[in-house]
Amino acid sequence: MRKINTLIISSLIILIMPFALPNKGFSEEKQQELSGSELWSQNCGRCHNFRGIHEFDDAQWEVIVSHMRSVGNIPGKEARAILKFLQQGNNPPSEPILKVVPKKMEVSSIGEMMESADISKGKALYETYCTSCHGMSGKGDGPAAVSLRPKPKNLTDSAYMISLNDQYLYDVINKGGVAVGKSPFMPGWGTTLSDEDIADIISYIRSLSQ
Amino acid sequence: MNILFKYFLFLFLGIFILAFSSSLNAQQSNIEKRLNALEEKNNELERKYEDLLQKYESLKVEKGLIEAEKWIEEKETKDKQQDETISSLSSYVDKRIEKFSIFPEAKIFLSGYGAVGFKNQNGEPSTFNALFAPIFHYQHSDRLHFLIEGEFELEDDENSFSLEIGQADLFINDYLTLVGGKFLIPFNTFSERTHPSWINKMPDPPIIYGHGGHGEHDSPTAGIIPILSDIGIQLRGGAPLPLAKGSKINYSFYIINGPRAVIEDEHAEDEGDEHVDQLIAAMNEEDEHADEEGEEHADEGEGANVDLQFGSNFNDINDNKTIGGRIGFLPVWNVELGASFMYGEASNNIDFYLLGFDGQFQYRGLNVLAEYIRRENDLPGGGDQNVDGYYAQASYRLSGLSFDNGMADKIINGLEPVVRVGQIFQEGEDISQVAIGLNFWYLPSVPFKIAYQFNDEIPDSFLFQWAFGF
Repeated sequence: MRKINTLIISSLIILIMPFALPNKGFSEEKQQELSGSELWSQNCGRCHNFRGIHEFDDAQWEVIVSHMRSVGNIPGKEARAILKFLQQGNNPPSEPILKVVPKKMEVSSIGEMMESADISKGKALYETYCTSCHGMSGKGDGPAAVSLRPKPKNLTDSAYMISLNDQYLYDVINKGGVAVGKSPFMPGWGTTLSDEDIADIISYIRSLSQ
Repeated sequence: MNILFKYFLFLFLGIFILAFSSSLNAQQSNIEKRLNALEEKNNELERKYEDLLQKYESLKVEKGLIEAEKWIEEKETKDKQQDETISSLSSYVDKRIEKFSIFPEAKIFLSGYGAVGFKNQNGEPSTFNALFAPIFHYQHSDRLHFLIEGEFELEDDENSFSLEIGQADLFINDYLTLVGGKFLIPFNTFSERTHPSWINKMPDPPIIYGHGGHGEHDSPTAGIIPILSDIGIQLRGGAPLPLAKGSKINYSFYIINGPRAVIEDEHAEDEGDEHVDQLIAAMNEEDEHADEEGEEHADEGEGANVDLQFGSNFNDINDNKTIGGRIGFLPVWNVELGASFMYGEASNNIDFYLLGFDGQFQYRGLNVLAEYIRRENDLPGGGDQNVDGYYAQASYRLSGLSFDNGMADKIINGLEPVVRVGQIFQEGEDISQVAIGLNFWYLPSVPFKIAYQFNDEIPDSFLFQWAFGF
């Protein structure tokens, strides 16, 4: 029994020791880089329900993610990406003087912006920021959608999408659900995405219902 | 002549004077007329001047007002911007002060959970119960995090407060964290991750987790192990794997004080503690007659059981420490398989080991958990005491259903049926349990749970719990 235990202990030490070296470990080059949104949906709903992003401010999220990094054995780089996603989703930012807020466009110019929107770029942005809740197909069936009430909207519903103008979509993406009387679980991305980015996402979203 | 000349002279003078005076009068009259006319004109010009002056003044005032308004508007905008900047600065400064300005990166956060429940076990009085566990976090910097969890516990007629967790986390690098203090032991996953009442999908722990220090004291049995926490140090972490999206490995290794072994002897009531003391003395070789009496007592020791008490060995009563660890493997992000072990020599020279396996699967609203635990320990009289068991739980969140009715959808989307089965296999008595439950998630961290347990060897129970996490 003691020999087996010695073997177990030695094996564990050998397994763990490489990680005691500064940032040495398994190569991440072969793994596709995951966005903060994807990491959040993969890690933060496995044990408990997703909590609303606006439930905590930026400083509180920092403490929470630090605790979860330890409890959930989340690698440091992933924890930082998740924290960045959560803090960016808090709109308005809790410390506005420390962040550069992208200039927001006037109501009249959204039409012009939509004319030059890039749908392929919008697809990439959608997959980075939106799929965790709205799903890859846009049907509101992302991994995080399970514990959200109300559920994320089905963006493939053409009748519903036709009823929404571009300005509305711009407002909800820019300022979050609360700004348009919708779910507080929809974060605002105005401090992360430029107007052009939002227009690109809108153009891609429109294509999902066509 | 002279008179006539004088007469004509006077006449002529008179006529001249008359003529002159009338001329003068006429001139004066003209002058007066002209004066009057000029005066009138002057008056008219004065009036016009006054009018123009008034117009000028009013124009001046009007222009001044416009400029004044502009000036006021600009000033108000500047004042507002200044106020916002001051407010923002003030808020920033307040937050820094609030979070210990001495350590600008330091942050304090209070979280925790609690629950109120109701239990009706056949053959026992029904009862309400409650627990409250505040958790204080202090983050000194992005590398150092402190955590203290206390628990207010109410049991029988006593209420108590205990330190459940008091640990420090030092993030050595992205893959390794040093933990020290009193921490939840990473043996399987229920103790460490899913036991808090707002996360556990049933009102009580699985059957293999029994009574013991962590507030979930509604377990109907002693279980195989309690919810584990102990004092020691730990290295843990996780790393991504180059297999698939989200694939990872996580690992934990710890050294702790370990449990105390309490020997429960069925003969104790007949013979008092003497028999147990003799057993212990024989095992510890304190008795010079141990070789002679040891074996005799060993035979009599049959029937003695060992109760391993985790989490209450605050000052270790021997030099023996307990070691253990867990490795978890996620081939994809929504599947985790884990293996755990723990080995040590508890008090009274009782060797023990624990072996555990755990698994988790998640797909949309479906969540499946399962754990297996095996415990082996020496017995005072020789031989081993073995007990093993498992539980499996499945839950499904009805968030995908819609009946196009706002209120009905809100209620139905918050519902989550749960089923859990479990068994304990031990000498002389196997215990089985099938529990069905229904949760309603009022908020992501506030569930209302009801459950009914169909048990073998122990009474059936009805349970209700309202839990909250904050």
